[in-house]
Amino acid sequence: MSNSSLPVEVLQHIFSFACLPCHPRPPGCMPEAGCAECANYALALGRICKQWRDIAWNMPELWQRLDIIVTARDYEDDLANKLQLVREWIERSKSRPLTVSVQPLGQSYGYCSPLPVFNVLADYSKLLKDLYLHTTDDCLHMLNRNVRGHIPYLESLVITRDRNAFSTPITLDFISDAPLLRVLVYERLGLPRDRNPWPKLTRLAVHGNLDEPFHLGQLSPKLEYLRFGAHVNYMPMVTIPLRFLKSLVIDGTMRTLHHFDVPALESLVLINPDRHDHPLQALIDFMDRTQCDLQLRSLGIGLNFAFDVEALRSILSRTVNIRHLYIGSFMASDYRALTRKIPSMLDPKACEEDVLLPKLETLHYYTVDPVRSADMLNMIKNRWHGSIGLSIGAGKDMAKLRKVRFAKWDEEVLAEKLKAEMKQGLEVTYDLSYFDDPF
Amino acid sequence: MVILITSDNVKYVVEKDVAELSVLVKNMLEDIGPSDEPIPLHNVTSTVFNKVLEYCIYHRNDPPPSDDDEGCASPLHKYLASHICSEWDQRFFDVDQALLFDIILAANYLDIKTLLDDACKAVAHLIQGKSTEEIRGIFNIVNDFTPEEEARVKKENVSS
Repeated sequence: MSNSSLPVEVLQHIFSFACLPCHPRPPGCMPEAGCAECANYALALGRICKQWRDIAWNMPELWQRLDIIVTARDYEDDLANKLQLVREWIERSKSRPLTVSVQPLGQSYGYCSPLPVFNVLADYSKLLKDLYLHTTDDCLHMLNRNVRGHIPYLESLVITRDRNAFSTPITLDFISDAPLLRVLVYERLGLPRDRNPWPKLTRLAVHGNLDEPFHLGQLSPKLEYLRFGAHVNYMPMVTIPLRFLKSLVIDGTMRTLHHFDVPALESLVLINPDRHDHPLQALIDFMDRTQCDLQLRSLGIGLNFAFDVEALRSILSRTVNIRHLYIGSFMASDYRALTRKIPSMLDPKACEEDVLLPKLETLHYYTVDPVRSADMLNMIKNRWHGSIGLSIGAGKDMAKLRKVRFAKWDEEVLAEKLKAEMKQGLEVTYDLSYFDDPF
Repeated sequence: MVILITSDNVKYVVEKDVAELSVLVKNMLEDIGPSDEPIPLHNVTSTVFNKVLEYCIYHRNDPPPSDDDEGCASPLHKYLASHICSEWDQRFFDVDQALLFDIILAANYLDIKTLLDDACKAVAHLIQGKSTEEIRGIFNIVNDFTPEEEARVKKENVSS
């Protein structure tokens, strides 16, 4: 059979499926640069024959997603040709909203600024809907100069600053007037100093310091997810009211935690708090004040100092509806607590009173050393079997633990000893990072 | 029950709810009203119709495709929609390419949206990651670019 026997509308249907991303893009993540082939698929279809090229070239939806990789070779070869290709690509989208990523092939652009590419994008700023940008400072300055007020349809921005960037602070002034912004993720940059509200913003993740968290309640009242680095020493005595916030991740000092009024909170992660803040006690105080302990479904605590196991027990004894727990530590010297005391505390067979976290389904456990302890193994096995398999006493009803995640490690330490459980369906992975939001 | 006759004169007696997964058949049944008259399927052979029927019987109780599947779906939704998840479907479409294309033509003619979508996904999956030459081979396409045109289109790349 030749392709001529397939009607054009069927070929269009096949093309639209063939050009979909090969990997799902989670909210707030840069696309993988390795997916270049998939990103270029619309162009690849145009290389088959003239009929296919004509069909593909007249399907605007194939050209709404553009993933640009800028390399040193572009400057050696023909940069003007690449810029022309980018323009033609965008023109073929026939003014549909665009999803665009620009990034280097590796970690950095080196000495080759992607400014010419950003200049082309600036010409089409009114079409930009979702942006994933790895930028250099000259690009940021250009965007702040030329694009501010001209991105009416921007819905999401994930932006990271090249590691070769200067250390001078730069603010994201170009998104000051972005009324439809829903997702904002940035790193080593600052929020615009004078900005209009982002009434639709639901997801804000700042990898680094968030300068002014206390304005969030007024400017983005609909936030549902907030992650920020908090290294401020001074916080005015104000409340940050976020009625819809479901998930809060604080990386750094916990002093800001006391300012939040978050009645819908379901997930709380504290990473790397200052030991002088006494984070576990501060968390207990927060729960006392907000009464959020019963509604929490996910809780994460990552410390760079030793765990106070009894304080942790006190927290876990009141968060009875937790389904997902993250315990993380960089402290090799806290080995005893991490591999014996905490696992024993979570082991339904070892506990004398009511089972802690009876609804726990996933456990995220980050330790510096690989986990080899019998206590950890027993806890996982006993939780995997749940209350039915364990024959534990009345009042100890317990969900089955379904998934365990450990730190990235080249030796899959537990896999062999949990073989039987894994065969029955327990999922064990080694993909946990200390700094990421585990949930 | 509904009687359907394929282009090679093979008669099928099919339950009405299965037959009506085809919008073409459904419309014809509505047009002719209650009748024992067989419905001819001019563009479908029995070999292909056997596969179509197998698919329709397996998926007879699936919820109808919603309008949300078009246009406004999220990228993640589109990604998931682009992948054939069920093992049964994967086995069903694991056939030679000629038959796969014939299933597509039949689904298009009979207007069975889910089968058309799934078969197109199977073909899309078949060509993803393949070289230009390999795709031409799969579709029996003759390269009609001039050497100059071919040299130019080969240079088109924004992601490397």
